[in-house]
Formats: sequence, C-alpha cells, structure tokens
Amino acid sequence: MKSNRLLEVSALQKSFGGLQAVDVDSLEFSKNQITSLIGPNGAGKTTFFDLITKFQNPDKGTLIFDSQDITALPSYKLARLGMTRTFQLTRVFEKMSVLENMQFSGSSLKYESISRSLIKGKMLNNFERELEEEVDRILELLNLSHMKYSYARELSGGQKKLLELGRALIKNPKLLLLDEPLAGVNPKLAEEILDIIQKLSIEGINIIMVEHNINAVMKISERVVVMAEGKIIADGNPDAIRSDEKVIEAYLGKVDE
Amino acid sequence: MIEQLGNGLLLGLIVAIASVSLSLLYGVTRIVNFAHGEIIALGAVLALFFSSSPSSNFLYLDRYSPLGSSFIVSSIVSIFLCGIFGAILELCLFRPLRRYNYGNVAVLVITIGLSIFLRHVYLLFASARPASYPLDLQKRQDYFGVQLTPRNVQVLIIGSLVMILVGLFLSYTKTGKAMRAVRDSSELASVSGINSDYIITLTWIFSSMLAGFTGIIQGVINNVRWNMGFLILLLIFAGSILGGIGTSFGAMFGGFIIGMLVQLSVGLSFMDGHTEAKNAIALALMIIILLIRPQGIFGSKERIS
Amino acid sequence: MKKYKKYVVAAALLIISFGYIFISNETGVARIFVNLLTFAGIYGLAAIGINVHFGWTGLLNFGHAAFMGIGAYTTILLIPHALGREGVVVENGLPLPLAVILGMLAAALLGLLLGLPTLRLRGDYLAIVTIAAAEIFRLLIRDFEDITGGVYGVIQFSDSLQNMRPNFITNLATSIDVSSSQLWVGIITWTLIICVLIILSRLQKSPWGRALRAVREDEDAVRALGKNAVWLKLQSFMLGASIGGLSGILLAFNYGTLQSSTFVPVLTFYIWAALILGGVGSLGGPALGAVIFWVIISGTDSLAEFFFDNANGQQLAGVRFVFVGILIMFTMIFTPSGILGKKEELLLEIK
Repeated sequence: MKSNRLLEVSALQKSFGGLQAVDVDSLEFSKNQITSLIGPNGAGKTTFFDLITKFQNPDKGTLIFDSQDITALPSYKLARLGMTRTFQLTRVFEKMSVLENMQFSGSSLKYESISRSLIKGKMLNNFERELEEEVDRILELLNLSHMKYSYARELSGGQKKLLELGRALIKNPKLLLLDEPLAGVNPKLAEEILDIIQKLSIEGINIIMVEHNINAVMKISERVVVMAEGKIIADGNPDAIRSDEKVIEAYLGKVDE
Repeated sequence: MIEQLGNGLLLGLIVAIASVSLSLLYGVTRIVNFAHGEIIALGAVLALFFSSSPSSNFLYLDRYSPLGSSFIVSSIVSIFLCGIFGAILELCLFRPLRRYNYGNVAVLVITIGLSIFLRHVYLLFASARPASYPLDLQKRQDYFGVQLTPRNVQVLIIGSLVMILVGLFLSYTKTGKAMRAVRDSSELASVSGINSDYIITLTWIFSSMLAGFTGIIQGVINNVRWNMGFLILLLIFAGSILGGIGTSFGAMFGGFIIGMLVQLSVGLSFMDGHTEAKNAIALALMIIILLIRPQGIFGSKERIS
Repeated sequence: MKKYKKYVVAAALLIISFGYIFISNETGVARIFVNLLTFAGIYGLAAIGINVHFGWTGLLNFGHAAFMGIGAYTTILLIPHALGREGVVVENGLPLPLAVILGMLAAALLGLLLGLPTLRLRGDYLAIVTIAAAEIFRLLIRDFEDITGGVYGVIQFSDSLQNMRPNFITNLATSIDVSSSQLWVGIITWTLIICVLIILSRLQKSPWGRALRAVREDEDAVRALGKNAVWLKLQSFMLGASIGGLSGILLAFNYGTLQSSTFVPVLTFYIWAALILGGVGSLGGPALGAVIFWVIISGTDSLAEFFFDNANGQQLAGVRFVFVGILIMFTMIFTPSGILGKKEELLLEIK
C-alpha cells in the first residue's frame, strides 16, 4: 500500500565534534504545499538539508522518501527518485552554456554512456530534440530564453539562481529543496522567483525551502517549520508561527537578515 | 630482516623529517610541491660542493671547483642557502602565482616543471654517478643489537633532536603558532593581525632549511645523486598520506613508518636481488591506504568528492 | 576572425618548425622528418589520451607511461617475439589485431584498478597515485626478467606489423631514402590519430561528453542532479588509458625493441609538455603540441652541443630536460591554454 507521505524523517541526528547540529525526532511532508524552514543562524537548517539530500551522512536516523528507505543511498540516486535540490551559493556550470547546463540536467542516464553516444541512433536524436523543447519551455518561464547560448559565466547573479532553478525543474522533481533561493537577490527578482515558486507548487511540485527572508516566507508559505539549536521548535501555518512565543524567543537578540 | 633495523631507523628518520618539511609547507600554502625533493637534493649538493676537495672531479664544469671546507661548515652554509632558495621561490614564483589567482592545478603542473628543471640542472653540474662526502669510512658497530656506524648514531641523535626542536617550535613559539594559525585559516589569521605573506615566506625558509638538512643527512648515510630528490619524494608522499595530510605530527609518524617498512622489506626473502623494488612496496602501501582510509591515521576526513 | 587567430599561429609555428629542420640539416632531411613525425605522432596520440583525462574531465594523471607500457608489453608478449639476454624465442602468438585490442584492454583495466580507489577523492591523490603506479610498473618490468626480458628487453617482434606493409610504401620509402619500416609505423600512427579524433569528436558533442564537462567543473552539482560522477570519471579514465596503451604499442613498434627503460616517468612529462603546449581540451592540440615539442627538443640538442664541446649523452639529456622543465613552467604560467586551447573552458582549479 503506497503511503501518501512524500518524505518522512525519523530520529535524525548529526553531531560535529561533540556539538549536536541536528536532532529531529520526527518530521513529515505529505500534502503538496510550500514549506519553509526557518531559524536563527546556526540552527542546523543547512545541515538538515544536507542530511535529507544525503550530501552528509546522518549519525542516526531513517529517511523515507516516497515509501522508499533512502537512508543508505548515495546522493546522486536521490535525484533519480524525484528529489532535487539547489545550493545556497549558486553552482551553475560556468564553462558551459545555459542550454548545455539545462541539457545536462535533463538528459537521461541512458544516453550518457560511451556506447550510446557513439552510435547516435534515431532514439537519441528524438530524445535530444524533445529535451531541447523542454529546455525552451522552462527558459521561457524563467525569462532566460535570450541567454540560451551564452556561457553561464556571463549571467548575472540573479540569472544564475534562475538557471539553477531551471536545472532542478527539468528533472520533473516530486520534491524540490531550495537552499536560500532569495539570498543576495534584489527585491524585483525576488518577487519573480517567488512567483515562479508558487506556479510550481500549483503544478504539483512539493517544495521545501530554507530562507532567511521572513517577509517572503510569510507571504508564500503554507507551512513553516522553525529550527533552533538543531531541534524543531515550531511547526504550523505562518500566522501560528508569527505569534509563537518559542519562535520569538529563539530570534530574540539575534540579528535577522 | 633484523639486520636492516639500523638502516630502517635511519631511513625512517630521514623520511620523517622530510615529510614534516613538506607537510608544513602544504599546510600553510596548500600547494603540493613536487619540487620539494629538489630542495632536499639542493642541500646535499651544496654541502658536497662546499666540502669536496678542489681536486675531485665532481663537477662537470671545470671552471667551478669545490672549496674544500670542513664538512660541518659546509653543511651549515648549505642549510642557510637552502633557506634563501626557498625564500626566492616564494617571492619570485609562488607569491605572484598567488596574487594572480592561479588555480592549484596550474601551480601543481608548474611545480612539476620546476622539479624537472632543477633536477636536470643538478645533472648538468654534477656527476651522474653517486658521490659521497669527504668523510672517512667507518665500520659498523653493535649498538644494542643494531648494526650502525658511529656516524649513523650521531645522525640519529641529531635528527631526533631536530625533530623535537621543530615540534617545540611549532607548538610554543609565537612564530610557530602563527604558522599553524595561517594553516588553519588565512583570513582569520590576518584578522588577528598576522601578516599572511610574511608567515608564508617564513614557512618557505623554515621548510627549505629543514629539507636541506634532510638532504645532507641522506647524503651522509647513503650518497648524493642528482635524482635523490625524486626518489625520496614518493616516499614522502606515501608517508604523508599514511600519517594524514595536514598534520605535522601525522606526517612525521607516517614518514617514519614508511621509511622503516621500506627498509625492512629489503630483508624479506622474495626481495633478494630486487632491492630497488623496496620503493614499490611503499607505493603499493600508499595505494592500499587510499583504498581503506584516505585520511590517513591522524588526518581528519577529507571531503570525498 | 579572432577565433581563427590561434589556427594562424599554429600554422605559422609549424611552418617555422619545418623550415628550421630543413635549414639545419643538409642531408637526410627526409629521414629526419619521418623520424620526427613518427615519434611526434606517437607522443601526440599519448597526449590525446591525457587530454581526455585532464582536458575533458579534469583528472591529473602523471603516470601515463604505465598505461603506455602495459599496452605495449601486453601486446608484444602476445605475438611472436624473442626475449631477454638469451634471446629465448616465443614462436606462437595471437594475430596482431587481437593482440593490440588486448593491449588496449589491459591499459583500460589498469585505469580501472588505479581509478577505483582514487577517483572518489580529491585530485591531488590521483596525481600522486599515478606517479607511484608508473614507478612500480617500471620496477616490476625490470625485475621480472623471465617474463619481460628485464633490461635486455624484447626484440624481433616487428615482423607481425611490417609483414602487413604494402609494397607501394616500401617503394616510396626507398625512393626518398627513409626507413620503410618507420615510414609504415608513421603512416599507421597518423591514420590512427585521425580515427581516434573522429571518434572523440563525436563523443565530445554527445551527452556523455557534456556530462564529463559538468563533472570536471563541479562534482557536487552533478551528484545533486542525479548523475554518478565517480563512474563518469572512471569511464573517462579508462578511455584515456586505452588510448595511451595504443600509443605505447606504436612506440614499441617504432623502436623495434621493447626495453624497461622505455616507459619511464620522463616519458609522461614529455607528453604533458606536448599537451600543455598544444592546448589542453582542444582536439588537435595534443598532436600539434607533440610536433612542435619534438622540433624544440631537437633544437635543444644543438644548443647542448653549443654549451658543452662533445656533449655526451648525459649532458644532452640534461639540457633537453632543463628545457622541458622551462617549457612546462613558462607555458603554464603565460599561456595555460596552449596554442589551440580555449581559454574560457580552461579549468585549473580542483576543489
């Protein structure tokens, strides 16, 4: 029986040299919604992200994604299962064009072998053509069509963020994990990105994002999870969180971005 | 195998000191310096140059003749010159490379070019035959069951003292601590008022002097060859990997173990007539370590790409 | 127009180089040319292998001589040959094409063996391990005399290749006064280079080539996008290794004998110099670099004669390598993308 829970986190723990970075008893994501993960600096949000995407290995705990136990899987297998993430500092392939960045991301593993690449059959050509159509569609959505053939290096910081988003999208993820999508982005672009995120959610992609921009968070999130010192201290809709005493206390005295 | 114990101690000591010198440099500059072996060789070659008698035809270019000075004096001068050489390398080559943000791959390839260059300069100026210092031959004697010459014992003692001094220097002196600070984080160090460039230059000088010292000892125990640096470099890498890259203590420990193992392996029966292959053992060991525990014994877990 | 500038430079350098050869040799120019082009071709092919490693995937392989060597030894020992000091003759063997394929496979396998532990780790480790492997290879070859002939080596195997030589080549060779066996090897070498480049060109534009470029730049991003970076690196490593193996086989045939002193670390450095000079990452760069490099090397030999009267072998080698070292340093410092490389795509940072 297939569970309708997309991601389940149980008893997840990670410490670094005696310091407990993450200690989450249980957390679930089931409904298709936009969830934001917030908390003061050093709360363990990025580590938590790294743990669920297997960029770091947990000391203890289990992770179940779409009814599959992913605790022991290497990170590259997760994207194939439908979980894709972006990074805080954009990691586009600067020495490749925007088109190639997208093609690489969307390209099927089947065709990325030496033999298949040498014997360019009709299937590969068809696939590449459809892929490029999909790339065009997404670039259109992100307003990047005019940069299609430029080296990614030539993009502005904001455009690079969009490209990273595009790369994640072309993989048709079920769950999209965004690590500070608005970091260092000017207000106008931030609006655009938030728009896009909302559109994606409507299309059925489940989104979890780590963000410091509280306004943005409150504006589009349907659920807000608050972390402090590695633990989850609050979990609910934006209004509930706004008035939660524990949350206010956690942020008290800390500089908010 | 036990008769190799004496040699093992010596080689272990040499590789240990050499490993520390390289590890120190790597820690502060993050460069894998393939030319480090040539600095070691430089120490040996300079000491040979200064101490050989003018009549020995050690050098090809007969226009330059050796000075025939006392060995001790020659060694000390040589060590200082190595330090200066290290400073020159830093000031004229590596600092500009740093300023212009050359990637570490580029720098690595450049150090390989440098090592090829230096090694063959030595070849041109020195004999391809192994040469020895003008010290009288000594017979091996028995020291607690280990066969060594008196000079070897002196070397062991001096070498160990040097190691201890280096350790103390790094742990307790202001400069030593500054070096470790720069190693851990260059930005943080400059914020605390430490001049990174200055410390890096000091590290180059210090490391090169140590390397020169190693070369001289190696020359005393074995002989001086134009490619002695390259030969020992691989052992140093193996030692540093075994002990853990980035920790001086680990490098020393790993270097010592590798030196010992390599020499002791000569005593194994299947090695008869294959003494050169002893290096192969060290290298095979290195590959195995990388398979099992890439961070070495004392290193912290490197980010696995 | 700017894009063609580097081809103009390349052509100019070639013309100057060949011109120099013509001028500095009164007699036997054809012979010198054939010799130079054959060796350059072989080194060029080897450099193409390293280009796949470094230029395409960002891998640091400083032990290419081992791949060349294992290809050569595997192939030569599988065809009829004579071995060692006694000249022990081994009469039976496999047909040459099969032996060549097995030689290339052996090289690929060595690549797998070395790559598996190290490609998970940072780039410097691969560099150190490959140097170590080349050293070990050299020592093992020298020591296992009964199999490899040790320092005396393997001789008398060339017939397998030379028997395939068509008559018109032999006639051509005689008419211009060059060694017909070397001419044959040279023609085969350059033909193979063209074939390999055609294949590589296809691969470069393919999804696989694209994936490799992504891996070269940022492995973590690659993993986050669902691809197995280590496996991709391994494939590239094995491909480059087998090309190296092929070049080693050709080198053996060019020499006519196979000795343990052939596949030594300096060989690897020569090839790197050729690659860097020609242009990392470009298709034609390695071959071009090899040709120009060989001309430079012959030039330094004359220079050595200038410095040392009656320069002996050691001094020649010394001067030659002093220049190789300088060449590598200067090229890497001032024109890291070489003659034909693309500066924008040059990646000189391992994370």
